[in-house]
Amino acid sequence: MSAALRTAALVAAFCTLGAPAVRADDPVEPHSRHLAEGGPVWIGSPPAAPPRRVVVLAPSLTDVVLALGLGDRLVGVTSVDRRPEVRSLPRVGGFVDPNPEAILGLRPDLVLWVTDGAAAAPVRRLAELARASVRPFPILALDVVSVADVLAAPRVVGEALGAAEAGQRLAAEMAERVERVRAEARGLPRRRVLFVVGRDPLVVAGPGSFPDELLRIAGCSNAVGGERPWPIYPLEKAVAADPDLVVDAAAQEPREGIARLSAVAAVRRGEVIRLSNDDLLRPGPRMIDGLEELLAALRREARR
Amino acid sequence: MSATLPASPRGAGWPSRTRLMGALALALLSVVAAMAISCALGPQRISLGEAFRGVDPDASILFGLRLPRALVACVVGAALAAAGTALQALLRNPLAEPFVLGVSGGAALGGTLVLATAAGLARVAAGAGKLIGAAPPVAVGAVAGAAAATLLVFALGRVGGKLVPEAALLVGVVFNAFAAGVISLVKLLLPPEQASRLLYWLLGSVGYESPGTIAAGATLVALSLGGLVVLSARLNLLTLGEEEAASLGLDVRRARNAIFFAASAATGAAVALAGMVGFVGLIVPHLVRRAVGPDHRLLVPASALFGAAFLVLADALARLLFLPLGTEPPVGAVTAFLGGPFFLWLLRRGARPEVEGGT
Amino acid sequence: MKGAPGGPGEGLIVELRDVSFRYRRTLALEGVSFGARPGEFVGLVGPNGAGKSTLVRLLAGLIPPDRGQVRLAGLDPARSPRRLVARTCALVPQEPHLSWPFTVREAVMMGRAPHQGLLALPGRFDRGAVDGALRACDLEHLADRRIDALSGGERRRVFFARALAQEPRLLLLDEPTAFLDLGHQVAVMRLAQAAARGGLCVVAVLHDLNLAAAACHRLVVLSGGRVVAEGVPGEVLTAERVREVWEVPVWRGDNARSGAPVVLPDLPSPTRGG
Repeated sequence: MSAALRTAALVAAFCTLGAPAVRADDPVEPHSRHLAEGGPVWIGSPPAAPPRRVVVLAPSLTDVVLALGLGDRLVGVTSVDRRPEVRSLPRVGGFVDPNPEAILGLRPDLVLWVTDGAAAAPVRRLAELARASVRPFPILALDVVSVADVLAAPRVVGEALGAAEAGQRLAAEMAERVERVRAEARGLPRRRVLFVVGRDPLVVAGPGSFPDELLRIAGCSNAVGGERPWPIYPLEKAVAADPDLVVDAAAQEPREGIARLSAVAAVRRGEVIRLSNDDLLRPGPRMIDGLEELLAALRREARR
Repeated sequence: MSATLPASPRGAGWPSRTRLMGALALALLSVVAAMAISCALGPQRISLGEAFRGVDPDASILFGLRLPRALVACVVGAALAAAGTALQALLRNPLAEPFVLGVSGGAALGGTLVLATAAGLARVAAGAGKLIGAAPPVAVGAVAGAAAATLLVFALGRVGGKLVPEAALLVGVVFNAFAAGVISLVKLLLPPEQASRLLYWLLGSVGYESPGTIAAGATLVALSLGGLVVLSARLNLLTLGEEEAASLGLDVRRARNAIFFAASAATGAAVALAGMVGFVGLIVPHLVRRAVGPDHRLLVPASALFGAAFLVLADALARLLFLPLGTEPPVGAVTAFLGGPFFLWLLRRGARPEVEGGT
Repeated sequence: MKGAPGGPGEGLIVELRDVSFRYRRTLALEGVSFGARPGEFVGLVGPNGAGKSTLVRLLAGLIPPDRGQVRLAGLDPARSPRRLVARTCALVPQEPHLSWPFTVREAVMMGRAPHQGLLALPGRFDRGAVDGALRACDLEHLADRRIDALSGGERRRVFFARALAQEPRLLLLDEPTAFLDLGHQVAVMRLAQAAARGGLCVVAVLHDLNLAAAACHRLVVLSGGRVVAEGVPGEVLTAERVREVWEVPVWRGDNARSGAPVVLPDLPSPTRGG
């Protein structure tokens, strides 16, 4: 018995080795207060002068920087970035697995990062190295979870890049567009919508995802309940929910494939809005474009 | 080892003690060389001179990224190779190794369960959740899972009360499938960002651990390797079979327990550091045994050293091959790519050194 | 040199008293008692399934008896520390496992394990014992060969040498002549006799009655888990007994030169028929 106790004590002691390493306000971990409420998190000190060599770790942030007209400041993007404007820029790894070595090699003076659980480890390492370097540079962590956060991003990025005014303008413009969509949507009938992201297996947008919020802004309600933002949904449940309308956001797949969901009455009736791209899923300025497109489609549907 | 007689002119005797010491020295050299090669490879061109003078980013890249990565590969490779050697002796079968026997699967399952508990706790008590999700508890979970899997394999891999290697291997394969299933289930229940973190860990990648984590992992591995080296003479006896070892004075149960605990601890630490990296414990001991001989007092340290060099080189190879694609595959993929065919080749060769009595 | 069966052990190195053992439901041994002295070569004979191998494993302490007592130089081999038992008793198993290709010298050196420390680094006494064992078994010229490169007979001698290197007081041989040709069978029996002459007590499970009769001081006949006869070969191996125990008609004669009994199965001649 005492041997077991001794082993248990040893194990507990070993576990507490991790305690000093876990700081309560670890900036790399996602927070409960997201970008709009809590503001961005600076890992390292904010730059004194407007940064000229910016590495961006998310395509949505590339959108913001380009929309601000500051594309010439970019020196590195992720491999999932398909914007033609950044085609010639070196790649620094993926969205989930950015490569600290590639980032360091570009000698940035600012790194923009959308907080994502999986990338925390490489980013943490990068932060440690950046801090210890002869030429330290900060990482700006943006926790973008809701539409409000998306609207706050341009202002934050603009400030960080030393173009606060342009940032404010872009943010205001995006907010205005959202309000216009909200206002126009009031005139439309309220539909229950099933937002399909993947068809086989059926993956839908649930509460807590961007499409969920955008649907509400566009005057619809989400037919999907529960807790998970991107649940793999049983087809039966979708049929039972009997949505008025299906939004087919699987833009990469052929349009005819939606027939696989013909068990859902709305699909049989042909009440399907097909999105031409995945803008609605990208938390950046393009999302607003997608929102407007969605509203237009809803208006067309209402007229039928 | 026995007296240093020259090898008999007819028939192969194993080399003398001095030559074996030379083999160990060579192994150590190969580790250093492998680490040097690994540190020289990467997506960025760096100048060693600048790095040593402390110029950034070369210094940060070399000492902050490449060197720790090579160290982790070293530690993990040594751990898995030594564990594989020990398990092969215990099972008297060269097909045994932590991955195939389900020990790695158990470690992955243990670590996954700890991560899942942390995620669940984080919803209720964020602090506790973070504490449990930190590296050391995950490592403990991995070690516990490895030990549990080993226990299961050795308990169930018996026919008529005696440990039968083929049965144990089958149990291991089945357990791997079981662990994979449970891990998939757990992944479904986790919030998406935790799930992707888990997936990445499981793939077997040598990532970006902090120096503290590397040190803790290295300590655990060093301790278990030390244990295995100390027990290596007992491993020699165990290759004779349980009854013969007992008749030669070995307390078989205690020796077995100690050895598989050490092997599980080494595997658990390796999995906690780098996820599921397989086949190192299969390829390396097999090759080293052909060069160094079956005496585990030399085989265990030699396997550990060559295992370290092997994994460092495999990781460097993985990064080199995928450089043009701009991404780095998990090193587990490379070892599986090399190890799968090797495993099949071993099977076909009927590489059972078991020789029946009689002329 | 007759051993005293069942009596109190005086000078007895092996002593079994009323030992019973079951494998799950089958009774392997029942009420077995016998003893043996140093310098004796005792042969255990009997048909398949009579319990001979079980008896050997009981003697080696690999399994504990369900009933009765097993004593090895006063020790209970199943309950004493294994190292101590291994210094007293050495077992040459029927089918030695041969997983890794050690050299002959390394294999024999493993017999020194009960005398060595944790890392089994060989000392002077160890080397001496190994050299002596190699010499006794005529293996010196093969000392550096790998054991998987040897013939079956040579390999048996290696394991015999390993057992000798243990420097035990009791040598247990489980069917040492199985699968060997005549020459090697005789060689092994000679080794066993030499060991007995050297002061060891040798207990061997033997199938070949003639070899047993020729080489052993005493025979113990087991059948159905019981001892049915015990004593000098000449007295134990009668035609009736062999017919009873092995259920085979035999012709029994005497080897004129050594006085040992000779037992031949009663088979019809292929040429004469009938």
